[in-house]
Amino acid sequence: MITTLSKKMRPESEVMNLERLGSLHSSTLSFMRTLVRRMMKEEWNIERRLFDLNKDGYGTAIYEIETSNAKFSFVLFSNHLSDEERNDRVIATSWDLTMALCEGSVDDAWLESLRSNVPRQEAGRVDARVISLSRANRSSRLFQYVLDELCAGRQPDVERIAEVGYLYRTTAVYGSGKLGMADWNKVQAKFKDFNRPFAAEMFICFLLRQFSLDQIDHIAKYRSPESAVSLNVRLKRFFGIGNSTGLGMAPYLVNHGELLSQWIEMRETALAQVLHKATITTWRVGLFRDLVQRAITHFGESNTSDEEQIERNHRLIIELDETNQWFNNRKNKLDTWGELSEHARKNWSFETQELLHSICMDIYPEIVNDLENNYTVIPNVELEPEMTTLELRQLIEDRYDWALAIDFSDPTRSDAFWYRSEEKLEPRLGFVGADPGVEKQMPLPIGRRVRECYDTLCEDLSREADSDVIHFLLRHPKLKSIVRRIQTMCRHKYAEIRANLADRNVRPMDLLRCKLAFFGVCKFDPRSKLWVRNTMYQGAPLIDDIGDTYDSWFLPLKPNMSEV
Amino acid sequence: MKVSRNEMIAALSRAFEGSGHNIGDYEDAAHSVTWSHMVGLSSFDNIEIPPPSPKGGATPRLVFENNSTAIIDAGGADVCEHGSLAAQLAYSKSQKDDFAIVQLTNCRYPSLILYCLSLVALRGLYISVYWQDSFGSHGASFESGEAFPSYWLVCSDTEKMHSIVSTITITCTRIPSLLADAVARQVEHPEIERKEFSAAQLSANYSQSLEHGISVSEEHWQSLNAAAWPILVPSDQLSRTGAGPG
Repeated sequence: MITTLSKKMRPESEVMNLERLGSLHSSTLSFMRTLVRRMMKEEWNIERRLFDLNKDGYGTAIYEIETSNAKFSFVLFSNHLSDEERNDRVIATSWDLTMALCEGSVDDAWLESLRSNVPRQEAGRVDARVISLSRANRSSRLFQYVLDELCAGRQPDVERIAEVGYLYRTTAVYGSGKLGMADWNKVQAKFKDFNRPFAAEMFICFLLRQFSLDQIDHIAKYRSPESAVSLNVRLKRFFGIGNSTGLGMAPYLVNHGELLSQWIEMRETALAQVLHKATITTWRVGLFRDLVQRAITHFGESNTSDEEQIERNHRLIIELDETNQWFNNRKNKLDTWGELSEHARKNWSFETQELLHSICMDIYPEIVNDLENNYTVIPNVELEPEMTTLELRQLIEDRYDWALAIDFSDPTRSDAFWYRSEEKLEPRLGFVGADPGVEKQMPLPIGRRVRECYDTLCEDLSREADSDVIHFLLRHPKLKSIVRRIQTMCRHKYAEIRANLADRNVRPMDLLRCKLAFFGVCKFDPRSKLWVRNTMYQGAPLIDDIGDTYDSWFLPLKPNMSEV
Repeated sequence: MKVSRNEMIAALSRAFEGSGHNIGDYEDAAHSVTWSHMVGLSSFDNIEIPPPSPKGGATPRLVFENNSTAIIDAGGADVCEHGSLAAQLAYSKSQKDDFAIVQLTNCRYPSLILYCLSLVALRGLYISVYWQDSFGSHGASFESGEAFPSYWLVCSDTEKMHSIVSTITITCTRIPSLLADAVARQVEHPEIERKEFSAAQLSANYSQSLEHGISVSEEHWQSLNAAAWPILVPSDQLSRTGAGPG
């Protein structure tokens, strides 16, 4: 059975194409969705233990979280920040909000230590009891408007909310041992609640959203005790948390190749199950078509000023209409969802294809959702010293044919480079001839390194025809790392991202979009090819919803307030 | 101060890269030093910061080799340059011949070999390893499939070991009985004053470091981070545009 399914999974050459990866959408297996499911299913108890804010919303808040496994504390510091100081870049040094997710309860001494360090972010130090750290800036477009409306006793206009989608925007979320925090190995082993990739980082953003809603009610009540109203609960659910993501995510994906491979393989496993094995009923087709209709509305409500994204969304909506027509023509009859996928592959854009796949997975939670427990991988970068050099050459030719097809002697294919700035080690992209630092570049272009290895290997084989990898490396020790990578990645079904990261026309946006889709964000709003704004948790339940039934928040829509 | 495992690996990696090491070597150095420090062998405190440059990028010299034996001359380089290859050579030979002895001569920081051997032991081999340095004579043995070794040190009471380079002897086998004599002999000489650390102790030290963070001297840590400067590019307004919003 497993072998059969494996054969039906999409080929590596198709899936690992960077343009396709850059067209992925969130799905039921995205990390925010799986976290919320866990919270709701296990009925986490989240209480405000301290809400010591002044009339302007500045001060300290602590939320305590009790799960069936452990207790945690979310500690947040809210400080005044002038508009001039507000900066989304990693290089910023002050923020409206700074916060930490900690294990256990936080006593006074620890709180003071956190107060001295958390607001400083990268310039501060915390200890291994802290699991995640983040910061956020107010939306200058929306925060004051919503506050004024609540103070005046009115609910804010849903159209205005939809234009932005959030009150605060997080600009970085740290975990995995940064700044002295708990190492991922500790988190995974000790905290069952956060043992999936980025679960703690996703949770801190969930609580940031909750605080943003609690805070604005608090300020409105203080400013206008006579007239202020609380934000309507349906509007609250429609508020997400903004996110601004830059280049830093791109090196992560390359440097954690095995992890990305696992994420892709799980997603593709789920997809193959649905496309080729799921039973199709009238009810399921109805669910599917409802979600297609919902998607048309959702993308119609998405705002971006990026010309390319506008065009992509526009084409997506047209093709979703064509999807409806396709179903109508067939009178809603199909044998497998694979028929739809194949039609989409031949006729529609990557955006549409991948959205239809996300929808397919969404309507079969009983088949798909168990895979959420398989997204973690223990890195095992391992050399196979006894492999013959002939076998290694064959491996490269089979799995890295895409890299061997690139002409790296063409300057346009090799003059982009990734480097670390002296400013907070921020990753940046430069171009030979325009930017200094090519000699200090990071070894991210895997394709070029494979090419260099392959050339040396072929030359070596001409002299040592009957050799093995360990003796090859004893002759060429500089290739130790890339040979380890090749052998390691080739043990995975989906190995490398098939893109030349040294290409002059490299699109970092696709890497960012890929990772963000796995996180589960929506409303992609590229600000250039180097950074993107997006929205987290829009439509998700609130902490007051825990314990109740809740609606799906896939493809969130503006609430219809006339029904209130 | 306390740092996390992840931070230490990243900082060491940048520092060794900054001193000119190749990617495979700075990866090995970062993991080896961090692992050794976490298990309690204090490698981080003892390494030179900034790290010395690689020894000319010379190919490790395979001085001698037959089916089950090999000698590699490291030429005065750190273990991070050739240690993992020596360990992998031992693995490869023991796969073919059941038993292998590999010597790595003229290498610095010999204790860092333990991390490389840990990876090999996890793949199902029994390993013993010996070396001498200015502290004395060292030995360690890994059970098959185990990440942590039993380690012992006999301190040197003379100053006969002045050299900063050592010879590491790795014995590696799939058949445990082949190592039994060597291990048993250590036990049979109680008159030799040994400092012993069981695999359980080293494992507990590692877990403790993971739970509470790794203790390092602040000064040494700052020096380590400063050693990354050769790989960092000065920032200006133009380069800031290479990361997104201005």
